[in-house]
Parts: sequence; structure tokens; C-alpha cells
Amino acid sequence: MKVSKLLVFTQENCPNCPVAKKAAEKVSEELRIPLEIFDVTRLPEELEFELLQNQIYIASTPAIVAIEEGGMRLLVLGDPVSYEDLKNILMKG
Amino acid sequence: MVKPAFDHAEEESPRKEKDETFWNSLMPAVRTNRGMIEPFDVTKIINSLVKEAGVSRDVASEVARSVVKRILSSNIQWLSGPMIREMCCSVLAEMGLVEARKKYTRIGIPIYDLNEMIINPLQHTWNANLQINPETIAKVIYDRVMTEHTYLTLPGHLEVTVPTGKRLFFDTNIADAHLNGDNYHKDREYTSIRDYCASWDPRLFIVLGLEPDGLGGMHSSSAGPPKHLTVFVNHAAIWLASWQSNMSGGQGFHNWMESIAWYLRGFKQEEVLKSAAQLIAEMNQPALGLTDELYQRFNQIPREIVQAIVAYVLRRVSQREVEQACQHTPYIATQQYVARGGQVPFTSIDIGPGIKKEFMNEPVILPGGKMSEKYVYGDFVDEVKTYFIEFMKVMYYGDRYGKLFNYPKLNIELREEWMKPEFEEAYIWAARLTAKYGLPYFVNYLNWRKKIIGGCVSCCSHTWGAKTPEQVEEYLSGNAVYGAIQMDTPNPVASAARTIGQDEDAFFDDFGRIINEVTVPSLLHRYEVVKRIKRLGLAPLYNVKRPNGKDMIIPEERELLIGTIGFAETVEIVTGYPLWHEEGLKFAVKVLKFMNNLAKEWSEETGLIFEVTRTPAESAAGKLARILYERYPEVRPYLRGKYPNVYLTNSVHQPVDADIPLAERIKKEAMFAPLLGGGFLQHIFLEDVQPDPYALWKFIVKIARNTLTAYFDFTLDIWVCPDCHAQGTIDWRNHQFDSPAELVEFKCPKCGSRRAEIYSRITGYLQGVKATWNDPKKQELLDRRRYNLNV
Repeated sequence: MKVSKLLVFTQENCPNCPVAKKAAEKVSEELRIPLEIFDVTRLPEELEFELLQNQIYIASTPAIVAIEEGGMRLLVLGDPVSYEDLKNILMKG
Repeated sequence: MVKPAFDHAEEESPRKEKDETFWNSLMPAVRTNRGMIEPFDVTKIINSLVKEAGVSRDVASEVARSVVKRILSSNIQWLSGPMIREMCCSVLAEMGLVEARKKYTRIGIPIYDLNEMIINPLQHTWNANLQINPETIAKVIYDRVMTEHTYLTLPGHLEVTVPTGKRLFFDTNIADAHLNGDNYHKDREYTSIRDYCASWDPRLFIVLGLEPDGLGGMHSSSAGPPKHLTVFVNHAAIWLASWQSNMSGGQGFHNWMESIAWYLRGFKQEEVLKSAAQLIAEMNQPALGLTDELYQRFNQIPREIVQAIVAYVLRRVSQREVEQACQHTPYIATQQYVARGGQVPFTSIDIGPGIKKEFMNEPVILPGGKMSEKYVYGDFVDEVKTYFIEFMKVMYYGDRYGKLFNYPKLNIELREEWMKPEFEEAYIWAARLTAKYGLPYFVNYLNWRKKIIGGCVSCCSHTWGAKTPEQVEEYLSGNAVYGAIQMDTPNPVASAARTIGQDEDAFFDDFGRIINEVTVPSLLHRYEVVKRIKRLGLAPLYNVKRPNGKDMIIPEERELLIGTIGFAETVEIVTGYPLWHEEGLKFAVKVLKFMNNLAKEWSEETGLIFEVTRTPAESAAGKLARILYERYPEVRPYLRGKYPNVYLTNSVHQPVDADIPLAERIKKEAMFAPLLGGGFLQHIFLEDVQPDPYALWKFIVKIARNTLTAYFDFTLDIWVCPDCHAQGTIDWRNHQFDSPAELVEFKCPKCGSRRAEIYSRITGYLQGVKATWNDPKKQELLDRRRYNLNV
């Protein structure tokens, strides 16, 4: 499934967020996928609705979501993630 | 200026005494509520008016004079206390003293209505969960009186001191808002005397033992901590029944599997083998009488065979004990008509096929509270799995005649640690049970809820979880008590009706006003009531100490629930789109977020816990729709059902008759689950007569993993005949009922008995349709769009 964008959700005082953010940035750069980072406490209303429609709720951070042709796919929710892990999850499709 | 009839300004006046003596002498004797016939005494009327109605002595004298005049002029010869009171109320009303009349009035039931209630009690209640018996008649009468009391005493002006230290003042009218259908005040009959619902950890009685009176067993008796499996089950049942007598809503257990684990140790294979080995070793000691006897009796049988038989018998004995304990549970849950006026307790148990990951390395808490040095909960994974399967089998085979057990509600937890092949057989049994009766409820911890620690479910659909490290510690140590004090449901359809043709802001202004001015003070009022109950010791169990020293009931730790109802109708009125349309969904999310923001603001303001939740609405759905029908004719086209059996769609559910594919329905409801912190239960109404359990299990996991659902069930409609004991699933492809009245005429397809009953899920529980469902809910049952899973 072609990924058109990666969305990364972080918040203050989230211990695993910096590593996840870096992993997402590296994947984004390597695979040339645009990346957008959001503070989960200040999500745009439209995006929040779109996430819910795609059965995604950011209950904990870090969270990473891929926008694909068929909709959105939740890659990471609340767990620490490395660059390798993220790439593997993404490639699994 | 009111001229006093009996001038009490000069209390010692001989004239006054003379007047009163004169008047009294003319009057007939009075049958008083002390059960005596007493001489008429006007002073008693005056004093009681001053004391009870809060009027001045002058006004009281004026009222008394009018009453005396009426009695004399009408030549009444038979007087009773209630009659005089009615006459006083009539005079107070004529004088425009409405509040005084409300305070002074007598709450009662017309003799005609009372006769009807005695003969046909279920026709005099909106409660869909009542079983007919003499205690229920008492409950129906009690409900009527106490509901009336609630309407008359809910405060118009509320002052409440909250944990933040603030003193809040509200000018409100909770009773009128309920009667007008603006806000549904749940459990009106219990408003003044009870807390609402709770989920308990069985380790509370494992440590404390059982004293159902809350008075150290002085009125009941005091039982020690359970040491055996059957006693554990007994204690559990009595615990819930005792608490049900102290609360209006459902009572449940969380951490059931962890709590029962140690009691299954006799079933532990290695323990059984060890016991057998021990016995065999003893058999080898010629000094033991038992060994001698066995050898003498079976002296032709080789020793190895005797040993094998002993091991087998021991294992069977243990297994039988577990089976008995499993059977015991649903029988106790469905056969004790002991609570809330002849009802079985509303019970639920959260169970799974293993030990939760956070408990695996925790030492077992033994009877009395000592920590085991030998066992951690993780030692019992196999035992609780076997127990789970036995429990499912008991529920699957039903009672003596194979009829389903509708209690305890089985909340089957779906957790990542059990999504392994070794647990599949156990879950397949849960799927079998689902396929046969639609009984279990699935609590989902496989999606965004996977990080929840201390999660549980109780009552119809409320979900809880530990939110602070202190609460997690309580949860792990068996001290957690979850629950809510009250649920009030602001009616968004009424706000939509009032603001029809205006913009969304008008709707939110109106809806926000109802929440702030009625729902919140109503919840705070019950919080005050529970504090008063504790202070006065009216429910001694509330003040019993948990093992960690805290009171069982701490009002500040209990939730105040803001309910949801009629979103489907609201969305359609305000946006013009159905709830399954993107615009409809957007508006529903907006309303939920609005409610959540208010809940958050009130939580911060008060230091209490406000949450938004799904309202069960087994009564509210019909009652609010009926009021809307009468009060706002313009919204009639939006109401579900057919007059007089109109109803609102429950909570944020899609309308039951919406013709949308199942996957779409599940997802378009599930997306609201994260916004309902107090809980949200989704239903899947099945058309299949008996779906394949293996495929059903795959479907359950698919729903749990791929949607936001928190809690869901599959509903089948089962018919059961008490005469020929046949039962089956209603095949809606071949059955048609045109009205609720036709449902009541349902006959056993096998023997034709009119006593055959249909069981279905009215909201968060299964109940007999013919005997107990109200007509709007019966109409909803007929309107439900059912799905064939093709599995």
C-alpha cells in the first residue's frame, strides 16, 4: 500500500516520544514520505475526526499513523519504537 | 393582612383558650395516623403547619380557621388525620402558598391505584427489570411513594460544598426538568436513600470475611474469610446481594480470576498428584489403618493399579468441586429474589481465560490478608483456564431444563496476553455461548484501550479504570472499589426541538444550560445525599473499612455520570443528516466533545469526577420520546416507533432500524467509544439462528482489533417454554410481529403454550420481553435491523 504521509503524535513529558520522532524522521527521509508532527493535546478538529473515522484514537504517545490509499493505518501507539522497528511495521503493509 | 382565627399573640389569653376549647368541642373525633381515635385539637393543626409547612403562626391560624369552618359547614362526621391535612393543603393552595403546600402535603396513593398495583403491579411501573412476586408489589408501591417524594423534595435551590473547598449555589428545578423531559433523573425512587452502582474486588471478602450488616455481624452474623472454593462462591454471592440492598444500580466483580485462583489449587495437577503420592506413601506405612483397610479390601489388585485409582479419584473429586462451584455461581445469581423489592441482584463478573499480565508476579493474597510466600498469581494460569472453560460450559448448558442464565452478566475480557493458541479453546467456549444465547459481553483491551490498567465494567455499560498510581496500587492489592453515585441524562432532542430553525450555537446554548443548571446540580445533590447517608450511618456497609483502611464508599472517589441519549434524532433535527452520514457523525462528535468539556470543567471546579457515558435507557427511551411527542409536535417525524410506542435511540447508537451494513454500523458507533469515558456498550443484533462459534470467534477478534469499540455484545432472541421446556432462537426470517401486542401473544412453537417467553437484550442485560419490557422497548425490538454474519 502506497504511503503518502506519516503523522507523528507526541506530547510534553513523553519519555519515548523523542526517539519515536527521530525514527519517523529517518524513515521519512529515507523513503521520501512527507511527515507531519502534532502535539496530541492540540489536534486540529478535522484531523481528530478523520482519525476516529479511521478507527484510530491517540490514547497514548508516541503514536505514528500512515496515510495510505485506502485510509489511515496505525503503526505505533504508546510504545517505544526504533527506526528499524518502524520501517518493518511500515513495510508489512 | 391575615386576621388570625385564634390569636396567639397573647399566648396566655383566657379568651384564646376559650375559643379553641369551644371550636374543639364542636368537632368530631379524629382517626389519627398513630392508629387511635382522638379528640379534635385545633392547636395540633396550627403547630404542625408552623413546623412542617414553615408558615407563620398567624397564617397557620388562618388556615386552621378555614378548615374548621369547612368541616362544620359541611357537617362532616367522620374525620381522619389525612383528611384534615388534605383540607389544609387545599386552603394553602387557595392562598397561593405553593411551596408551603408542597412541604405540607401528604404523599400517598389513591386507593383505586393501590388496588390495581396489588393486582397487576407490572402495569404500574416503567421499570423493565421487575419480576412479579409479592415483594415486587411492595417495591412498586414503594417506588411510587418515593418517586413522588423525590419530585417534591429535589431542591429548587442547592448549596453544596465540594472537595475543592468551594461552596457552589444553584437555582434549579430538577424535578420539573425531569417531568418536562429536559433531563432524565435516573433511579428517582432511590434518590434520597442510596448510592448507585459498584464493581468490587473479591479479595475484599477474602481478607475481611463477610458481615453483610456492616455492623460487625451484630445483626446478621460474622463469617470469616473463605478457605474453600464453595465458600468463596457463597461469600461472593452474598457480598453482591448485600451491596445490592444498599445501592440502586448493578453490582459486579473485577479481578475474579485472580481472586479465585488460589481456591483452585486443589485442582492443580501437581497438587493432586502430590496428594496422591502422599496418600500412596501413607498406604505404604503398615501402621496406618487406612492403608491396612485398602490393602485388605483390594488385596487381589496390584499395588500400582490401586495407586492409579486413588490419584484418579482425587482428581475427579477436585474437578467435581470446580464444576459445582461453577454451577453454584449462576444459580445463586438468578435465584435470590432478595434485593430492591424482590428482584435478583443485578450482577456482573469480569472474567478471562488466564491471569492478567500485571498480576503474574504478584504474591497471592491469602484468606485473612496474609501474602503467600509460596504462590504468585501466575502459578495458576492453567487452573483458571480450566475453570473458565468449566464456567462457560455451565453457562452453555443452562439450567436444569437448558434455559439460559441471564445473570451474572459475563464480561469476557479480550487481552493481548491471552491472544495465544493455548487460550483459544477457552475463548471458543465463550464464542459457543455467544452463538447459542448471545450471553457474553466482550470487554476490549486490544485496541487503544490496551494500556488501561485496572479496567473493569459494571452495571449496564459503565467502564472504569485506575487513573492514578494510587488507584493502580489499590487495584493490584485488592482494595479497588469502582462505581458511580448517580447518572443524569440531559436530553439533546429537547434542546434540538427548542432551537429548530436556528443555528448550532443556539442548540449548544440550550443544551449547555440544561447540563449546567439541571444535570450537574442533580448529580451534586445525590453526592450530598450519599455524604448524608454516611454521616448518619443509614447504610452501615458504606463505612466499613477496606483492608487498606479506607471506607468502602468514599463519595469523592465515585463518578458523577452525564448520560447520553437520542443522538440519532438530535443530529437529524439539527443537521438534516442521519447519524450514519459524515455530517451527522461530525455533529455527534461535536456534541460529545462539548459534553466532555463541560464534564472536565465541572471536575476541575468541584474536585469530583464527572464523566460522559452511555445511558441504559430501558425506561428513558420511551418516556422522553412520549414527552417530546406531546410537547414538541414538530419533532414527531424524527421519533422512532409508532405512537403511542415512540422511543428515542439509545445513547450515540445508530438507529436500530438503520439500513446500513454491519461493518459500517460497528465502526460508526465504535468511533464514539473513546469519547465516552464512563462507558459505551455496542450491540450487534443477529439474525442467524446459530452462527458457527469458530468463525464467530475470528469475527470477535477482528472487531476488537480493527475498531475503537470498548465493549460489545451479540444479541440473539431466544424463546423458552416453561411447559414443554422447549427453547430455540427466533428466526426473524420466518417470524413477524406487527405490534408489541402481538409479541405478548407469542406462543410456544412446539406445544402452543401462551406462557412461552422471549428473552432478548433490552439494553445492557437480557430480560423476558413479554413479562417485563415496556411497550416502547417492545416496539424497538420489532424495529431492530438484524444481521446475518454468514459465518
